[in-house]
Amino acid sequence: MPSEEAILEVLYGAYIFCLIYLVGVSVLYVILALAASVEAALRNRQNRAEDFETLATSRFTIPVSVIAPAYNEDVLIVASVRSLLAIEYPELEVIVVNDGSTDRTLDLLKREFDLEPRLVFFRRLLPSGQVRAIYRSKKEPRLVVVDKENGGKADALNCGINLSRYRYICCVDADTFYDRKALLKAMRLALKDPARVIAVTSPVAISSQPEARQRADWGEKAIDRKPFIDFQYMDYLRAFLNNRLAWSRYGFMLCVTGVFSIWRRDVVQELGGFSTRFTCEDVELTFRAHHHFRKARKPYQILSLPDVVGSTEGPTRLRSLIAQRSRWQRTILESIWAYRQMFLNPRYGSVGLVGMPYYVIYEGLAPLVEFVSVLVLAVAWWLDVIAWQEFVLFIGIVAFANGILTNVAVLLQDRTSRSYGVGSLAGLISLGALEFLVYRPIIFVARWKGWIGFLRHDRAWHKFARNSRAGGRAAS
Amino acid sequence: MAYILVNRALYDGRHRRVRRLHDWLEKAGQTASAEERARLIERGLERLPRRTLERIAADTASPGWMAEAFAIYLVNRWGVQRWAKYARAHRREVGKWRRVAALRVLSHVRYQGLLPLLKRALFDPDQDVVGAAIVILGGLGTREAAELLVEALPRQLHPLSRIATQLDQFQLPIVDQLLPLLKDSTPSVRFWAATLLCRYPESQGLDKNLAELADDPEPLVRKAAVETLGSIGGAAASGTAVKLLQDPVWYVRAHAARALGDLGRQDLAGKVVALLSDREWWVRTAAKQSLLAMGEGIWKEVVPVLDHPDRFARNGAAEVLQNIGWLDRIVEQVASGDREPQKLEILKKLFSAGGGRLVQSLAWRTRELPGLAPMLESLGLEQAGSR
Repeated sequence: MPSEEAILEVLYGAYIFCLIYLVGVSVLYVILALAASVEAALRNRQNRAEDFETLATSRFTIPVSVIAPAYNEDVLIVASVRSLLAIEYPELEVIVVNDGSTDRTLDLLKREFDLEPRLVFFRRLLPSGQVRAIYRSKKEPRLVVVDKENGGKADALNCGINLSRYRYICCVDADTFYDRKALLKAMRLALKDPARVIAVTSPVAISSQPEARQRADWGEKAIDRKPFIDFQYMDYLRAFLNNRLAWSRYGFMLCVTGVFSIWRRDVVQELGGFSTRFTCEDVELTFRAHHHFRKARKPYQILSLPDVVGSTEGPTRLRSLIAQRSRWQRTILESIWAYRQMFLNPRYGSVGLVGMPYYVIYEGLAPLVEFVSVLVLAVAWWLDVIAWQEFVLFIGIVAFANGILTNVAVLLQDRTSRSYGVGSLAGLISLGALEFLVYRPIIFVARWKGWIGFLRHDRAWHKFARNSRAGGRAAS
Repeated sequence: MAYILVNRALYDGRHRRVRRLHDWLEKAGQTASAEERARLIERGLERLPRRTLERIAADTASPGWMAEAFAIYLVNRWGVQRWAKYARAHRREVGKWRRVAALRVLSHVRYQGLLPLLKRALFDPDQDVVGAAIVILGGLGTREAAELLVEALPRQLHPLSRIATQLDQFQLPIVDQLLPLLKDSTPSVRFWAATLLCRYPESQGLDKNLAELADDPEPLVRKAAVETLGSIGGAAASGTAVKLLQDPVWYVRAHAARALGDLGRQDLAGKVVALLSDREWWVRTAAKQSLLAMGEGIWKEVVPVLDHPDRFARNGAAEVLQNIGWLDRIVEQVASGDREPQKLEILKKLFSAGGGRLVQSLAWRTRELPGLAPMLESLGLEQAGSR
């Protein structure tokens, strides 16, 4: 048996380690939040000076192919595709790829958009599963629906890219509702410098009824009635506005998220398309793009913007949320592992020296350090090394710091879009104070599950069940 | 936390005040006298902070009347010279955006000395300032503004597509300014000049000027010339397009094919049909689009491609015959009893070139046609057709 002195020494060492980690995390997040504030201000000012009206009607606005993979999305598919077709953009095509759905997704699309099968020949530039049929809409010439065998989201995206005609592709989710100005706002910077801008992403809001949120007027949108959803939204805001805006500013934007990602098609083709070997396709492709361009020393930009471009459905059940977040954690770990040669490698510039270490230390290893922290505190309390008052104080300080960071994200969101009323903002702020105690433990569990899945080489998607709707379908 | 809510409450308060003013102007404001209107606008705005007024006046999303009213107020209250000073130069980031706002404010009040300020902004090293100046010049719509924008093209002060976007929507005709640019030494300028000129089909001799660019060493220029010729037409258009169907660069060939489609020259379909077996996929796609644009009358030119040794050329021909509606029409005729052997032979070749999916989609489209099943059966296609 180790002596009490040895236990205390180990405990003290672990305590100091956790403290240093915590201080490091806090300092880094403050720096990122400051950088993100500057970036958000710049983008907002640029937006105000931009002539969107002219861009929306100009024949020189680069056309975009919107690709929406759909697997068992019969609840939201029709309304979602309508929102895509309602996007104000001079020239776009919407390619919905039905990835072997077993529900009524394809039937609903056929009925709502008066689809008829057409013979279309296309090049299989990227590997993808067998196409069963290609449909064209009699009502809407911009819509193409592809019915293919199930092969996963990456496979469906590759299939959509094979059929796409335009220089930029916009990968979206078929359970999301997009803002009419989404593409114009997101393409603004690509239009200025298409030679360098290879990818752009922008945040979406989370809601249990995304179609209702999207219908509400600007400035009068309300936060979700379910705090569980609001916690997820705040998490999104923090990820997009506090972190990704800052990463984007310094050239190491490592996550062009799948819910709304614009890519230059030739780049995706050059990279070999979305990979089916990873749990999720979005983070991995971003890592691969950085790896490729930095290695080839070619100039490029991957950008994240502050404008909220739509609303998507978040899981309403604890189990679904844990499954979703553990999947994200697995994706991060898989990507870090696959591109580990970039870690602290000066050849990869800010990606190797800042982005990768950030991912490794603050995204990859976070669950381990969090676990050690909780364990150390619990043992220290049990051994009477710290008093309960100190324990509570410690937790209080961390919760407060966490709340501040969440509020910075809420502030950035409000200053960018002014979409919510004061009441909703007050609601978000109040929930922000509780986030550390209520929501973070769930994410902690999910991340651990993600770690275990990663070690077990689990690649499953674990799609969550759609929320129930009045009448079973989203209002369209 | 309180900061977020206070900031938002202040924003809402200001927003409400602006909205009240807007509502009043829409209703009672129409009948009020000019003095009364001016007094009420002034009273409505005087309690708003300058930064808010500046932001609304300079925001491109603000309604025109509102931005103008705010700009007039700002200039009256703080003096035009102050705004001219802001608009002249900037040192830091904050100053840059104030400069942009000042330029917009001065454009709303039609300040006499605005053009020199915009010209200065056009040559600024900061791209945000240049971009804002280009947008303002586009909005002014005057001949002088057009001259400045045209001057900015060869100097490549900003992404040329953005300058072209403004020039393309210019109200005044600017053909005289653009024509000399067709002979500019910079290829990208010649490209944009050729592209922008498609708005002036009535310009005399334009087709000849553009046709001369068919021998330009830069493929992008040749592409722009033929694209514009396809749009404006003219005596030299089809000849140039036919010539460029043989261009060594694939995208020039593709645009030449599209140009012939835009011109609707069915008599030249045979030349386009040859591109269905081009070595580049995009040229084949363009040829298909072009033939589709020419209409059903081109079927005779396409049918021989069904015997082409290249499988993808045969596929393309089948796709074209489907998309121009010829296939459905012939199937209807055959299904209703017209069993002309030549037609049946072509159909057989067509189904063979299009494969199962062509038959499947045809069967779906013509599912209510009573004679279809026996017809498919007679061609040995009953299984594929009924799948």
